[in-house]
Amino acid sequence: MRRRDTISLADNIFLSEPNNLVAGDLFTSNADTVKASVKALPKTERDSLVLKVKENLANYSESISGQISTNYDFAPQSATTARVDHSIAMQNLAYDLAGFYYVAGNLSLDEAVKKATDNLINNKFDFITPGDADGVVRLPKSIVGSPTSYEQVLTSVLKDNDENKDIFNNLSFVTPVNDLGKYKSEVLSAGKFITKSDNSGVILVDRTSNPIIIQSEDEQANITQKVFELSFEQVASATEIYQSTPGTIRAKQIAVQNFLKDFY
Amino acid sequence: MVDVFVPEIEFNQNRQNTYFDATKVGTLDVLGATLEETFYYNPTNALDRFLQMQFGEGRTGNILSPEQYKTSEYFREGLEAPEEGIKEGYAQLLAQNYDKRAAITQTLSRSKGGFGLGAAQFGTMLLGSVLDPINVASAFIPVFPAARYAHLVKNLGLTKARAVRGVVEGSVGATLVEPIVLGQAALEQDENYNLLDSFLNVTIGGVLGGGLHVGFGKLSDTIERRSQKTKEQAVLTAIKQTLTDQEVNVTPIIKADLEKTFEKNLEKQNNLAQEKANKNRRCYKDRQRFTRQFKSTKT
Repeated sequence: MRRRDTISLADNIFLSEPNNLVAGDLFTSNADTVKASVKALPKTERDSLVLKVKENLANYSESISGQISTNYDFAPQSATTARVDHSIAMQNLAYDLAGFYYVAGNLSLDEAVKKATDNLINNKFDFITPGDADGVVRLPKSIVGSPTSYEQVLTSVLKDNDENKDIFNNLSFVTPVNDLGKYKSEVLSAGKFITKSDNSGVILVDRTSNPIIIQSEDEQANITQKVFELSFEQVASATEIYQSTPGTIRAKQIAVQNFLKDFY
Repeated sequence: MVDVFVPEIEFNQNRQNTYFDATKVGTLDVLGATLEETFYYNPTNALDRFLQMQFGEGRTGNILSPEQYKTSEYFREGLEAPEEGIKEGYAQLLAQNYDKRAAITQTLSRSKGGFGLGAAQFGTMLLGSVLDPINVASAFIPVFPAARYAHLVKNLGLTKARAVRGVVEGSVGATLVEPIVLGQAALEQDENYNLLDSFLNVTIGGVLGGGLHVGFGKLSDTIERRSQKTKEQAVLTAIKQTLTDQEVNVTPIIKADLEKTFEKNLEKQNNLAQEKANKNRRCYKDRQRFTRQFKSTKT
């Protein structure tokens, strides 16, 4: 561990995955000599490096900070400073690593960036965009089943067919002031899923990336509120139902909706 | 790496409360709300709501005192019940209409704006107005003096004269039916509908009248130019189709007549051209004969 006042992202990566060989490369890429070599590269190459790293990590950044690049006036609610800081720190780390691979090895710029971003992020996650709102969900490679089947299941949850509308109508959402019944329908048409921080599942969020809160009342009139979330295990079970249901896509979606409604 | 800490996303009540202010809606939603608003404030709908409130559902149910009204499910902010109380059915209709207006206003307030969308909204308003029977009928109240119209036809031509008469008659018609809409808005305690909206309605009535007069005028011209026999045949066919529950379709009859007229016109033009060519030939021969005679006289 390097002697510094704080634990950096590179340290975190090393701590969380001590056997990952990329950790060693990360520390090397942070060495002053390597950094000086990268800094000595022509400006066009450095600019290109920055752009390509951003491009290759776009899905990850969006899944962390909450779809800043969608057509929206403000950064979404999930883009809190800490989350944005994390995605920028990851980009800087990838830049240093790609620069190291480029100056010290025999790789082209594209190959160096790909190797760096793959080793850091893209080899560990798949990215899917369920629903119509282009929300990026990152799936750990360790999940059971294919990313496509997860996308099909999560898209079914956001489908505005009559059966799903009935399910949503039975849920009591915490809604904005002067809702007039529009909030729920906008969640169905423009809601997005965001991966939970511990990568164990997804949270349903509205257009401002504010989590959807479901309110329920028990027999003693105690009101409880919980975030609309699904674990990857539940989604994995739903993928089996999706695949085993015969007939049209609509029939498969309805089967999944009916299965998942008990977990909302 | 999978465990690298990223702070969890949290629910923010303040953020949610400003959801409708912060998020915009799509063009189709705005145009849909514009159409809904136009329908809502069309005279036929206003009349229908008036009849419902005064003679239909509005007269049903128990009378709620102003205090009872304020605690009832029908109460909405800004609405008031008269001192003598309000019928439950009436209160329900007031609430329903209030909610409808609020939903439309909310969607329109979330529009992205811009000149293009504004123009599309104006077009949608025109479309919504033209679908209202009272609006269409009111654009044909004959208030434009016949002599002045004849003068305009002579100076501007038929189409422009029709447009001018249409704008005048459309504006007058809209002014005449506007009290229905304005009165109903007052009855529903709709503070958002005021004289400015009435003025906009009259303007739209004028534009609508101009368009309708020119459009229907052209259509009428096409039918009027058909032979008496064709017109009779078209009317008889239409009656027969109506009586036998068929869809009325006299297009083939009018089309056949149009083709016949076209052929006749073509033949007429051919004959005229032929006659002109013959005349030119005769002139040429006469000139040649005259030249020959002149030369022989000279020698």
